[in-house]
Amino acid sequence: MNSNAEKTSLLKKILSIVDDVVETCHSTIARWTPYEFVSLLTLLLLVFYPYSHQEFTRVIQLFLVAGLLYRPLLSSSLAWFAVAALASVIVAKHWHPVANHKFLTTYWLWVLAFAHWANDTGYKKQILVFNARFLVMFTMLGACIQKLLSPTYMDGSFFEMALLTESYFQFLLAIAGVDPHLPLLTNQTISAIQNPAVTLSVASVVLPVGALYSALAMAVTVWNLAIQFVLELLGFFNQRKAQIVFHLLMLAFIHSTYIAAPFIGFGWLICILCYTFSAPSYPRLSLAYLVSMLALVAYESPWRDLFL
Amino acid sequence: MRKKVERGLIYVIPVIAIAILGNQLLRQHFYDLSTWKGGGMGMFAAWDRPSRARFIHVFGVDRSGESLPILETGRGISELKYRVTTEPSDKNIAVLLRHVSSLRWRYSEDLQPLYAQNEKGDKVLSREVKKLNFQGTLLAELVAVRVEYGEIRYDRALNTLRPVVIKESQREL
Repeated sequence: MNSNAEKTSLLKKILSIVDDVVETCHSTIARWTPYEFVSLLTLLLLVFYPYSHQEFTRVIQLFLVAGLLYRPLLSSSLAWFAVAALASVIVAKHWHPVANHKFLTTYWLWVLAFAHWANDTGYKKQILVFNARFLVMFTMLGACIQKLLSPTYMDGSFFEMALLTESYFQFLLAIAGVDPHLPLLTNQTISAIQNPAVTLSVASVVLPVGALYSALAMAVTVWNLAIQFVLELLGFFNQRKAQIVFHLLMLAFIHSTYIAAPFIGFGWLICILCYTFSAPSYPRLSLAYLVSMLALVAYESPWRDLFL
Repeated sequence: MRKKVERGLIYVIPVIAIAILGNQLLRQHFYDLSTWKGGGMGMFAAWDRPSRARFIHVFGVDRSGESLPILETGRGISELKYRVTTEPSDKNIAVLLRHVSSLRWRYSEDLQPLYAQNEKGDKVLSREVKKLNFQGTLLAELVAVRVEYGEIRYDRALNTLRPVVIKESQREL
């Protein structure tokens, strides 16, 4: 009896501490205007996960330092127009090698510029919240369309190859008990094919892939498409319950995706967008996106090596 | 007036983003643009990542008709090769060919020993062309430059990887 009472008391204490922490975070963030705070998060994204252009990164670093010293600068539409324009030039000039999520970041920079430029507080908020939600929905829609149109995704062969060729997935293979030589053989075969100085003595190379491995790849395939499809559907419903399920599922998506594939810059951007449109209606739930940003940084640590 | 503009600004980015997604889908259809690139949010959607599932081979052809691979990655070649593997349009291949043709090439017949693996996985001694050092190299008299673009196809039923050449293009010098 005593033990149960102690456990309940401990649980209450923990919940009370969590509540205090949430309250403290909330009151700290409340000292900033939503526009300033989202701008600050975006600058942190650009500093820690930059565009591959050194001069641009230096400009952003200066902007961040100046903005922290003189906060109104974070809401300067002129500064954000300049940042958005520079980012657009970089993306347009190097659109072949640039990753898709840099386009998404650039769209977001323009949204911030527009929001800071608007005088009407209602439109300011609408520009930010509507576009944050649109960009998340657009990302999910784009991903679903591309996957549904892709024969190599739909038959499971994409993830069969991706798990073997992307080094960050190797811990999953180790957990599933896949022969560690299989990724090596696959990557060596690809390197040989890509090297014009090598002539293959066979027309094709057999990969000793088992049925269990194919099942694992298919499970990842189905999970990835299904969660994005459900998120896209839920995004169309404005009811409170649907939105709460949306955010909980989005958090599950963020953690399950970025713990495996550490594209943390992309993960941070999704967190910032989701925070922006959830904060006005669900201020406490929105804090989970900020905590997720910290968690994503932890996912970058070499913990995967423990399984290799 | 300003209020109207502010209201209109809400929809600017959605219109641009949808237009770019449309452009990417069209380029995928007509020019085989990789789903990983182009702004339409298609990472992890297809086995067509330029650096993994595609290849580009560049060869110099001499008077005797012999093709030797050009392994140079500097002088802008790497970027142009990547552009072709991202979007293997005839235009991008022609730009690469034109650039490679505009450069003078040298070659060496020196070989250096190296260890390689045979088909059983045993280490064997082999030889490869020495890294080019301009001293002692000869000016190559090329008559043409040739490009092969291809895909590395994975057959899920047979569990095989095989190269398939999709496009070949040659530029006479």
